[in-house]
Amino acid sequence: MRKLFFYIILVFSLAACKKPPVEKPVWLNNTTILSIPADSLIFKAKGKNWEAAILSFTQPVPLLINYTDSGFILSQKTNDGITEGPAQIVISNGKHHFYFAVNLLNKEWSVITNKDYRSPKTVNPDSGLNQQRIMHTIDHWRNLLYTKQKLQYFFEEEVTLSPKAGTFRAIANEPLTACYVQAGSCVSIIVKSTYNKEKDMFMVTAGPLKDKYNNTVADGTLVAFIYHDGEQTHRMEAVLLDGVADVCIPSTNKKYSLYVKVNETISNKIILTR
Amino acid sequence: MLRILFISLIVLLLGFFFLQGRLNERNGEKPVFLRTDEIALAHQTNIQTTVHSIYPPDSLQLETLKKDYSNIWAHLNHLYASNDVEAGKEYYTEDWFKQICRHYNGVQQPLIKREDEQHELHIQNWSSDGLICTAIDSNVVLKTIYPDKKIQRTKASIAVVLLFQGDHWRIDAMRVIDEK
Repeated sequence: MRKLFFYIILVFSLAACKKPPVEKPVWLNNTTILSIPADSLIFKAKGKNWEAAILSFTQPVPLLINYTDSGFILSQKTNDGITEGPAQIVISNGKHHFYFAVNLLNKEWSVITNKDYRSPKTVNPDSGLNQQRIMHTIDHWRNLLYTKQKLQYFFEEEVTLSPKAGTFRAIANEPLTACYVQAGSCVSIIVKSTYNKEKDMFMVTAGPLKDKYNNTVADGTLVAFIYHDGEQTHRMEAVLLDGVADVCIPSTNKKYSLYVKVNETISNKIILTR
Repeated sequence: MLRILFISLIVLLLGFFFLQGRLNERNGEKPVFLRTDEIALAHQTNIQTTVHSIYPPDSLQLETLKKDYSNIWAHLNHLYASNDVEAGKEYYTEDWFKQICRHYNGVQQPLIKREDEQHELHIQNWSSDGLICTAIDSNVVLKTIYPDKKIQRTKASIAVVLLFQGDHWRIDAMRVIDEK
């Protein structure tokens, strides 16, 4: 009988040890739009075994808990922004989880960046000066913002660049947005020749070579000097530097007829005589 | 005496080589092309694409985009559940990676899991060099699985900017337009 009594007491004691159910915390300053960084989210709750995080669209953001007499206050650990949009505040106590739906909105956009992507990055007047331009705007936290176009996150247009050869930037202070306008092919070739008596050579100069927009043709362009002595045709080549290429042709008491060729462009013929 | 000197020298040499070996930093991380992305491999979703851009991508580019976009979502879901910022870094641009690292507090045990079941990717802009893609992903069907096995399905619309960097597409910016 004593044993039975003991067992009954034991069973009642075990029942008494059962944890009371965890009650859902009450969000006292409840809001549907939560400004980030989150600060002073006041909850009324019992116990001190709570964990909390904001579950944004991209990732969970841990929250700090400061316990008060009636519950706890949540605040964000850092002052950083977040991916804006629908989210949940998840409050856990052991295996009990409670969810509060919110819409996240960063208090500040911090730095707003206009992205201006150009394609192709290098243009050549021979093929065209058109460039595709894709634009969008983002805040410091990689959230897309509307462009200047109403209710549009993206904007695209075709732009025609100035034909002046050089480097320019789509966004002035961002070197990575640099684009390049190359010089095109030369449209005409000026050839000059002088006779050097000491060396007994013709000093032939082609240039300055310009494209149709008056840009100096690119360094390294191959220039061919083709000359005929009445019997044979000879060819000498030189590369362009600062728009000019020159060669020295031995005189050997001959008279030459010479022209210069750069790609498909051919100069007038000149006569080389002493 | 000579024997003791000889043994001491050997011990010193061995000690030196042992310490040198320990000081050498060993980077155990394999290069990307030798790694298997288990998270991306295990992921399955249905992506339908519609091209609205002036310069349309060719079929091969479109297939690459769909594959990479699926992988991006595999890692976005993993990030959502675990805050494991590093696992998907091959699918994030540097700026996006920096942004998610601001809220990194260690990898956590997944509590709420998310799966993306359906995408309708409307390509708005496609750069002629194939390096930039902007899109509106409308009707993204998201399945959220709670710890008590409760399942919730929502539809979301998202604007995304993808950049082609280092052999695949990476997410650079996003706007969650709505989720119902």
